[in-house]
Amino acid sequence: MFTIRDYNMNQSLVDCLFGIDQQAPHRKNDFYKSLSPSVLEQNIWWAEEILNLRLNPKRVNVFGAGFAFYQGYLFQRTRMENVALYDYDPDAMWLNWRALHHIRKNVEIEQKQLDVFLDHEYIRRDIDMVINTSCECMYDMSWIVEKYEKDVTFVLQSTNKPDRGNINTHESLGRFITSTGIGNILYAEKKNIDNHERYMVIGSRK
Amino acid sequence: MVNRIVYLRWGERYTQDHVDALHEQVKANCSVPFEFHTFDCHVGQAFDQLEQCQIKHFRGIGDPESSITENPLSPMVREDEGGMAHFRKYIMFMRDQSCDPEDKILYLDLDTIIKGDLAYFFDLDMSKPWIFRSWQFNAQMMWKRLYPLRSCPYFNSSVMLWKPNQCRKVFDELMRAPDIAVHNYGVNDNWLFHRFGPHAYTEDHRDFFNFFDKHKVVSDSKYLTNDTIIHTLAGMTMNEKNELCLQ
Repeated sequence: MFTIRDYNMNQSLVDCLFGIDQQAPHRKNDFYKSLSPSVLEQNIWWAEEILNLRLNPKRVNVFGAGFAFYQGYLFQRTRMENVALYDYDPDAMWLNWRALHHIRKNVEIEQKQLDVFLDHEYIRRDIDMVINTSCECMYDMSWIVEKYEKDVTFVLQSTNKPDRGNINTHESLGRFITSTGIGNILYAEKKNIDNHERYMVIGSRK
Repeated sequence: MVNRIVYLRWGERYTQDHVDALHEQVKANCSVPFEFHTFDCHVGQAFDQLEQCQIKHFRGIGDPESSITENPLSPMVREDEGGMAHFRKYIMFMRDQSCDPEDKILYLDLDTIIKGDLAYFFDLDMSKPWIFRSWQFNAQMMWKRLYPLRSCPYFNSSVMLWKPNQCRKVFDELMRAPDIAVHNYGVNDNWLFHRFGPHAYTEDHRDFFNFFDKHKVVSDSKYLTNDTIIHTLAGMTMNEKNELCLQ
């Protein structure tokens, strides 16, 4: 398990909190949720497995990035060099700019506010990896996976947790894997997080 | 040039009585010449595609034609249930090709109360199409809070005004990936707001519509004034609507 060490993250966190208070108090709850232990756990999970599998991705797309405060540390910990965040939430853009301030000298960050499905033609393809830990909030990832080359690794998570906005939950890890279109599986496992099953599959299309 | 006032009816919720009642209101409240008619949005290739999406992607337990969460015990809110719901409205933007390019088309939902002269709408600047805005979603930044959940759009397609072919982009965008639209957005106005609202990614879609004055077209009664022309009944149950519409 990683531990969060002093990495000037405090300054970024204070910037985020100040920004939420000033610009978007209506998103305070969402930001606090993004700092919850369960969100931290699901993010640490993908980072640990990327390291365990020795995948070493350099250029990475993150879909449904949301508020990515914890992810910033993990991008750097997994030695990513260039990360593009995609999310249609307009508040994610400016907030992540603050949240990732402390890693920007080491990791190049790009952001686009768009729908990763309906605006897919504006998403870069010359990458090593796609991370999406919000598959439960969108259409089956197979629709996207099939558009990428075989050498792009997908790191995908979903859940069986019914919740507001969870429009594509799955009853089992097997059903989730089927929905992703991933054929060459490097890793597939489930975990109990927040009293529900959470699934992760890592791999590429056949 | 013809001023067209159009409606759509489908399913069993609305009957010919609703059409007749709306027609009577229009006749009593429009001081300029007009034609009152419908567009056929229930046949054809686009409709068939949307219907297939409905079969494939509706996840709810209630009436898929409803655009609101009617059963408080439902495990999902309507936005999360997917399905066609009122997406078929946008087929109008392809059907209008049979009209003269200079015509103006005012669409009204059948659950509409007309309180003033509809001539107002046919005098508006038509450089952009018009849509009704749900101003009440500005309260406590509700639309911004719920934007990431594809909910509370400030677009409300119960009243729209456009010229033939002016909204063709909306139809084309929907039919480009109807499965995604119907699966991810659930209710048509959420999709329209994301794809043609202030945060649309493509510039030629962004801020696509003008909004009617907040007191001219109203759904929340707190905005009702003596100047109000249209009061829509969005958000009410059918029984509540019928009490007002079928008087």
